[in-house]
Amino acid sequence: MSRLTVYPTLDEYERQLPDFADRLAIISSDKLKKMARVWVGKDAYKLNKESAIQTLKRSLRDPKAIRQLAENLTAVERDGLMLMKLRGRRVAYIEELAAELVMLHPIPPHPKTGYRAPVSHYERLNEMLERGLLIRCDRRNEGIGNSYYSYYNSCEAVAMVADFFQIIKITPPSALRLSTITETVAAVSRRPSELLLELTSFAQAFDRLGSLSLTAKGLYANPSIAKLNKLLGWSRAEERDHQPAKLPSLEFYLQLFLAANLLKANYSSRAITANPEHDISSVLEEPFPIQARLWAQAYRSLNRWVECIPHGASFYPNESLGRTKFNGIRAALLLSLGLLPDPAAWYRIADLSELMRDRIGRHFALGYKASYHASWNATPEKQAEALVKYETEFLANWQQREHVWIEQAFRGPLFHLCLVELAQEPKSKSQTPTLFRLSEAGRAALYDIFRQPAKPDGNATPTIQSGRQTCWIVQPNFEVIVYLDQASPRQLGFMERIGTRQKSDATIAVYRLTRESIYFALENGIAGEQLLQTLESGSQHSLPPGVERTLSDWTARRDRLTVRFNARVIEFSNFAERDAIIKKNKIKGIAIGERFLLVEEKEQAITRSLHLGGTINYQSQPRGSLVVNDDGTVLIMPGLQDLLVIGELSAFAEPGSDIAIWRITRKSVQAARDRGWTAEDIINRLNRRTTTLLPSFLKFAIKAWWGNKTAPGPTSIATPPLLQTSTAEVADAIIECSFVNPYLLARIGTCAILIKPDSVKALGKLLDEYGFAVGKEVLLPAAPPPEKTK
Amino acid sequence: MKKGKPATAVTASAPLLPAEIELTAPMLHANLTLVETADADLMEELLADLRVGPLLVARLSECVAVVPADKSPELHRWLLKAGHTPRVLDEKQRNDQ
Repeated sequence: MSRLTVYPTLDEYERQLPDFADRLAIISSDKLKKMARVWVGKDAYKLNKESAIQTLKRSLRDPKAIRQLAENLTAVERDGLMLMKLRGRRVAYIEELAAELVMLHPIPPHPKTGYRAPVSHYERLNEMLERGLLIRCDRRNEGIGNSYYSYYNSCEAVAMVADFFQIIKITPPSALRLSTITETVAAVSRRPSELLLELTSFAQAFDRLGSLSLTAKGLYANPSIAKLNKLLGWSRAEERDHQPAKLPSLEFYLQLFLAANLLKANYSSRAITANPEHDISSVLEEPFPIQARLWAQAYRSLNRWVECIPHGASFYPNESLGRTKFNGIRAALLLSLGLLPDPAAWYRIADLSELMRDRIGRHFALGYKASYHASWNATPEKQAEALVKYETEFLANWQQREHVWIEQAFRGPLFHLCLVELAQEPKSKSQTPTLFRLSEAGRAALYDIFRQPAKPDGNATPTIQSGRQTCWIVQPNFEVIVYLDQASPRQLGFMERIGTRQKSDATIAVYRLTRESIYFALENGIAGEQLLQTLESGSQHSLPPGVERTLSDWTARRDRLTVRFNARVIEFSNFAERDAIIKKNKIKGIAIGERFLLVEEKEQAITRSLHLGGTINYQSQPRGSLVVNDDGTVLIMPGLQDLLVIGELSAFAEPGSDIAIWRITRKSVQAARDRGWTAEDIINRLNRRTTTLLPSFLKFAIKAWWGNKTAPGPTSIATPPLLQTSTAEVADAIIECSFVNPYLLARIGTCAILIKPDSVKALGKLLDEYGFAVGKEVLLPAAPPPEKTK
Repeated sequence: MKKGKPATAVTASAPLLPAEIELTAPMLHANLTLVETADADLMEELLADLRVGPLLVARLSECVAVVPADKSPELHRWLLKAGHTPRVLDEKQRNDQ
């Protein structure tokens, strides 16, 4: 699999906005005149190329010209700029804006043929590009989706060429013609507190994780995902072909937080981390109707996750991080919810789907788009037949694909994000909800944005009250029952940090306080006193005495034991020398024992203040400082003793007369064995520290003292008779002889054979009988002849 | 349940380093892993623990022990398993911040 294609974020696009004025020289004069017409009206056609360029450059810098621009804008352009203003930034994703523009201004049918031309859904967006109001962020000039080449180098985003926000007003577009439903049954809604609990839980879990690793190819690293899942207690989304996505899911929330800019992905350092420019806690503290707008926008832009993959649609989350058609249809759907005739009424999902089909369906598809084919010389009957075929295919495609997706979007993320409520029609045989209406948060996020300013006024009441209020009960068995409707996100976040959630439903969540959960809360920065105070302040009753006492004990226990990693300690000769340095105030630190000082300053600062004899770094392999002899004597080389070597030696050696001399003996090895050391442990520990090779004789001795039966193994000192021969052939012959062989033990050399001790006489007699002259002197090899000298 | 010999583990000696030593100049020991207890009784308890004790190789004082670098990664884990809840301080992280 090749590496993921990574695109800049909208923040990055906005920081590197292309300069429209720089591009004008390479645009044709016809296009330039068209762009100039936006600013100066019909007079633009009198301009030549150079004049058009100068007019555009001047107009872009002239605030008065920008104010007058509003009079020359078409309805499409006005709405396009309004949609950008609603986003609060000068850049927008192409897939989203293109679909929204077609949703607001459907492409009309051909005046002669009566059917809609097979243009793409980028048509309206391209009109704005041609008129010079928007510019592609990839610095290309052609229209979107116009060429084979541009498809494979698809542009993610477009930007406004100038700041038009001041001249654009937010006005509600025309409402959709949708019938309302007056009777419903089995209405279901999701409480914002449930969603807040999940959002808070995810934020806390990610905070505890710190960062999520990515692979070299830009995918989520499995160990990181597994850790995050474990912290959350959610099951990972399983592989699904065409099944709807289950929520909550880690992937959904990860992408939601990324799209909301609360998390940031860095593909060069291969990690997803919290975005330091945004504070997640503050976001979660905002009144839910305000938050809902953020989540709705994030949902529109999230990628690498879809509601479902209908038959005929494709989705490749591991190939590209760009926006897809799914972002386009999300944008169209969310926009349509802002165009409802009555925001408080119920509607059929199918009706909205049909309306979207009529507006965008002929130019937009999640998969293959149906098209009308008739040959140039087709008769009217053939043409009509082709048209019927096209219409049938078009309707069927939408029903199987886009309509299925729309239904899943309502029952999945829109409901999950508390933007809509669902219900069934009376007398409906199916249990599946088919009706929807905007929730309070949905109205604020999607409908009111066209009618009210984004920030709430002083009269707006938040759904969840922030600040401290009593919202939980702490039970004597260390369980805490939290009433979700009363708890603020900050309180939920606190409880997520100090307890382990056992269960939750629409109204309550139950946590358990354990030693581990309290310990990790303390380790992650909550002070012990703060923990007790916050727990008490949120409790509807006083804390049970046993709980309060135990929590205090757990907090105090942590204070009794400290582990310091990467600590720096200065060693002095004695107490007096150390105290003299402390009194002179040269170095600040904590005195340890008689002659050590624990310091916090960095090494450079220490060496500036104090003349040191050297530095020993314990991070790397321990330095070789021992000389080990065959007889077990171990000498610590002068000047190379560190803090650990004596402790290590004392585990399996005996001290000698001097602190630098130790001895490995049978007794010391057996004492180490009784304490649980193996022979290999002792040898390995020595190997790490010796300056030369550990003597093999001592290795075998250690093994033997330890009680190892296989090494060094049995040895023997014996005096068996030796039969020597003058040549190897004679020795071969004797060994091969069948009646001599029984008297022999083993051959130990080419001309030497050991004989069984009780067979000496018999063998001697036998060999003598067969003419082998058997003597008693040792046969020594002949001396080499002396070298001849000239 | 099958009875058998309990698993043995390397137990510790962790001698107290001498109160006086000959040094030509003070020595800096960097990147040490230290275990610090509030009192000597807790240190004895750690030394006697079959899982934690072997990790403590030497003592700078009655309440401060040194852990070799190769044993540092497992120190926190074994302390937690033994039921302790240590405060963890990493000088490197603090300096980076």
